[in-house]
Amino acid sequence: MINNNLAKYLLCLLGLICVMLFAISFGSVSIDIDKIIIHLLNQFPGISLNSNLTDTEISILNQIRLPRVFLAGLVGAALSLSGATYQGAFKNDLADPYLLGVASGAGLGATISIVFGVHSLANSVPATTFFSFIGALLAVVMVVSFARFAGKDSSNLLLAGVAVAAFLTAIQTYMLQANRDSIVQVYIWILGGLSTSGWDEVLLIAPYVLICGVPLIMLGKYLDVLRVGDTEAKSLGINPTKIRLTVVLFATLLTAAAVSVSGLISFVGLIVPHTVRIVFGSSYKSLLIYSVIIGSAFLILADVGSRILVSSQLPIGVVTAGIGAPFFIFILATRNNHA
Amino acid sequence: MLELKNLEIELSKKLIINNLSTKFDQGINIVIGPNGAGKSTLLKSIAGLIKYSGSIKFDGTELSNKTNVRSSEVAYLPQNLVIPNQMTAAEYVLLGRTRHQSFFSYEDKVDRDSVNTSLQSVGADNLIDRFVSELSGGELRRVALARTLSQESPVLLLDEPTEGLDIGAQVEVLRLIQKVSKENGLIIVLVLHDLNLAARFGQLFYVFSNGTIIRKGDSEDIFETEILSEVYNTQIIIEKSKAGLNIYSE
Repeated sequence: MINNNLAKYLLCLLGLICVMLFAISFGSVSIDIDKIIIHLLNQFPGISLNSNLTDTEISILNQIRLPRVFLAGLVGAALSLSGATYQGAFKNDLADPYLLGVASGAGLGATISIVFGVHSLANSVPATTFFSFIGALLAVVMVVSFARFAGKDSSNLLLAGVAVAAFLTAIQTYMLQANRDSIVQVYIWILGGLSTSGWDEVLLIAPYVLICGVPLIMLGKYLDVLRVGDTEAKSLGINPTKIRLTVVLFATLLTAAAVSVSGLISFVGLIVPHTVRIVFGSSYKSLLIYSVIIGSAFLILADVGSRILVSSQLPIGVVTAGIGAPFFIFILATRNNHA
Repeated sequence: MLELKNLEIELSKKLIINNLSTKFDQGINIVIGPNGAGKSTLLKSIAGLIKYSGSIKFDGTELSNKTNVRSSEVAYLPQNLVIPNQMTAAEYVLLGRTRHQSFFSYEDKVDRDSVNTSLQSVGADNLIDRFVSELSGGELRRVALARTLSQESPVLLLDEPTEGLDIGAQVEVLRLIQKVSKENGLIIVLVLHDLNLAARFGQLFYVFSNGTIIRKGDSEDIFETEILSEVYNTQIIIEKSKAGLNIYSE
């Protein structure tokens, strides 16, 4: 089927490139798309064309627009891919990347760094990013350990996720109550944002998208086998428990990386896979690939939206939640109609 | 030949299969017996889906405990199929090719040809692009049978493959099983409740009671009033005519 979809994948990639060029050109200083293309081509060795860009425009592109658009694309791809993966692993259309306590862990990590005033680590990655990543990872380790301790049932992962999330949120709330000065800062982080991002964040998340994304896409065919239930899946030659644990681990690492650089951007992992499912079908082999491309484009456009809607830049989480919440209700309504 | 020796299965501290030893040859082997006797458990153990003690050998070699290898030795179709939404018959049958694909590969021409051949052999090639969730019961069973064929395993384990079908569809499915058994030289172990259909389509019969096979033989050996009445704990009447057997309870 991969061959049948190749033309569609390429078409979607072309769409993504157009979205990226539009997002890079758009802003308080508008930059022509043809100049951007020449500037990007100039980054390849052996190419030296005249882009007619001013030094200011080059600075804006290199230091603000390009990292921001790349980061939005990578975060969108990561959240969408993990959302689609969770939905396949748990056979639950409403599962999303924050299911396993990742958001709570990241939120607690970020809160600790803000409350204790740790601003940066070795002048590179912001402390909030680092702490939230560690928090998200710790949450995952806790969830997976508790779930394994409880037994092999896949629902244990979900239940452990709910319990760990509640516990970590309780600690976060206690810390905020004890340090009320930090509430606004934590709140801004929770709403998610890409406005202060640079290449450091891009370099932090890019390896995770690659290292977790490629195996997840290869494992998509096994998520299709899980659709006929664990008993049949086992008789067809796969170990459902191992597959589920592997994909959940990769998807959660991916989420942790995304959350640590962008804060909590909700609903992307829910909206994108569902839209892909409606347009391109439910096979996970292609669903995961489409989710990466469409998720990337979606968050880049949402970021543009956050720049347009309010002059002071609306947190991107508000834009995605603004679209996501009505969409979520639409899914629920459709599910009930089909029942 | 599939050979079971001293098979024992305990579920929730209850002995379900009790020291069972038997052999299944090429052709249609039908397991009959009352509800709760352990027939489905027997098929699941052969498919490697539940733990057991004892030995299960195919052509003298012990079946593997590794899931992917086991699926190359036996293909299993449960009584109640899970039907995924938005999955075409082609995609559904392709699931049977899972063990033929490596981690780094998607389906190739061999897999696609196998899907087409399997669907053709059960007369379901016209359903290839239909969603399985939209098929009738008979169509779905045919497509599911195609999925087990695409596994290319020498043993097929079919648990109540005519469950929920009307009489026409039941006969159609059993004829197909008969056909694929002959064409592919398979060992088919079939659990069937309908004794009339069992007598009509089976070659060898295994009477299952209290966790073990108490009798094995052809239709003349098995379809005896005393044997069946005792096993089913009700008076069974068997009428023999030119058309075959007519089996019913009082």
